[in-house]
Amino acid sequence: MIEVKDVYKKYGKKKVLNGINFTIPKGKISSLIGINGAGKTTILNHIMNLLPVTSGEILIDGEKFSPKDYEKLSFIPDAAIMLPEMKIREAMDFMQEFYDTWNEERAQEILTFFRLNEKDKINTLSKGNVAKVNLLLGLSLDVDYVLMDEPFSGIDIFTREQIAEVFTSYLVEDKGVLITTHEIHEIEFLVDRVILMDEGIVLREFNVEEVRENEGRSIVDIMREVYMPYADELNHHQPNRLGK
Amino acid sequence: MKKFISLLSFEMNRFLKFLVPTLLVTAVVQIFVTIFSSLKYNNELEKIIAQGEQLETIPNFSLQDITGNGIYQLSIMLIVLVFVFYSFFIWYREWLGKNTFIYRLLMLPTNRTYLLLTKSLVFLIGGLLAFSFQFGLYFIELKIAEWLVMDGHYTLLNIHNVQPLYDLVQSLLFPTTLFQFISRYSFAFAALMSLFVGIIIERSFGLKGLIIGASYFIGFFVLYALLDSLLYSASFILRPSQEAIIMMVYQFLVIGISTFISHLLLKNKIKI
Repeated sequence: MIEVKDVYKKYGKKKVLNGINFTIPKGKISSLIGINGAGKTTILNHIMNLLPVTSGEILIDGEKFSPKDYEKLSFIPDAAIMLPEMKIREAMDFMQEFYDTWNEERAQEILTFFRLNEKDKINTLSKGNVAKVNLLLGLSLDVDYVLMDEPFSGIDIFTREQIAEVFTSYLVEDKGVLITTHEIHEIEFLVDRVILMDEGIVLREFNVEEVRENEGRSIVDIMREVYMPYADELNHHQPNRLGK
Repeated sequence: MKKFISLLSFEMNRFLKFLVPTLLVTAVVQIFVTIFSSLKYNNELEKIIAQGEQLETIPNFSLQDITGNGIYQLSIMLIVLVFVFYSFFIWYREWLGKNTFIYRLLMLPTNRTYLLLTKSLVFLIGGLLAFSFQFGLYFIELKIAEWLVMDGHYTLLNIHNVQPLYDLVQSLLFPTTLFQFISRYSFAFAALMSLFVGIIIERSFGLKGLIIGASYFIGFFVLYALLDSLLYSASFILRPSQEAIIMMVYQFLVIGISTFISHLLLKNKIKI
C-alpha cells in the first residue's frame, strides 16, 4: 500500500497540498480527480520522490522511500521522459539496462498491441504514439504500483480506446494503480476507487461499484455533489459573463 | 556497480557526440595549418634562393612555427570552450524542453550520487581523451612538416620547448612530472565539482540557489587564491613541493565536500 499522510506543499505563497491524506492499495485501480491546479501532478511527483516531501510523509509498503522502490513503482507521466532522439528500441534497451524488473516479453506484446515500430524515433511520434510509448515503458516493468498522470490527455478516441483496454488486461492485474485524469467517462467503468480532491485536500474517497449499486449514482453524480457547492460559491463571487 | 558502469557508458556516449566532432574539426584545422605553414616556409626559402641570399638568414622550421599560428591556437581553445560549455550543459540539458529526461534519471533504481559521479568522470575521461588526441596530433603534424619542409631546414623540437600558448593551458596539457599532472588535473576537477555543486544547488533551491551556488563556485577560486598568496608569503619556511601538497589537499577537500553536498541535495532536495 502507498500511504500519503498529511502532506503539505506550497509554491511560493500558494498552498497546493494542504495536509492531504489517502492510500493506494494493491490490486485496485484508483483515480485521483480534481480541477486544474488541484495538486494531482504534485502528489504524484511526491510519491515518486521527484519532489521532496518537506511536510508529512509518504510510505511505500510501510517504509519511507528509498531508491530500491523504483523497482516497485512505475510512473507514466503525460510527456515523454526519454531522450527525444532515441528510437523506441533504444529506450527499451535503456530500461532493460537499468531496471531488473524489465520484462522484455511483455514489452514485445505491448509493442505489437499498440502497433508501434521500435525503429521509430521518439521525436517523430505523434502525441498519441508518445503516450503509447510511455505506457509501453511503464507497463513493461514488473512493479507493484503504477502511477499514471493524465494518460488520456490530448489523445484521439481510437488511441484512448486502446489505452482503456490496458486497464482491463493482465498488465495492471494485482497492481496498485493510480490515475489522474479529467476524462471521467473514459474511466467510469475501469476504476475501483475514486479520490476527489480540491484545494490540496481530499474531499471524498469512495468505492465506485458500491456507490453505483447502493446509491445508483455514477462518478459524475458524486462529483457534482462534491464540487457544485464550490462552483456555486465561485459564481456568487464572479458572476457569469452572460449575466445569468 | 553494473548500473554505475552502464550510466557512465551512457553519459560518455552523449559527451562523445560533442567531443568527437570537435576533435575532428581541430585535427582538420591543425593539419591544414601545418601544411600551410610548411608550404609557406618553403615558399620563403625559394624566394631567398631566387634572390641569391644566404639560406642561413632564415631560421629552421620547427613545431613552434605551427603552434604559434593564431588559427592553430584557436583550434585548441575550441576544445577548451566545448568542455566549458558542456560543464553547464551536461546538467541543464536534462531539464530542457518538454521531454525532460531528468525524470527518468532521478527515477533510476540506483544511488542518485551516481549521476554526479558519472557526469564528473565523463570530464576526466574526456579530458584524458582530448589530451591524448592532441598529443597524437602533434606527432602527426611533426611528420607532415618533416615531409613537406625542404631537407636540412627542419628542426625537431621537443614539445616542452614549444612556446606556451597560455601558461595554464600549456601546463595543463603538458605537465612535466606526475606530481604536476596530479596537481593540475586535481585543480581542474575541483573547479568542475564546485561548478556541479553550484548547479545542483540552483536546481534544488531556484533563484535563492543560484546566488548560493554561484557563491560556492566563486568561493572555490577566491579561497584558492587566498591560500596561494598565504603560502607564498610563508615561502621562506615552506618548500615549493610542500606548498604544492597543501594546495592539492585543499583541492581534494573541495572535491570531497562538493561530493558530499551534492549527494545530500540529490537525495533529498533536488526538484524536477
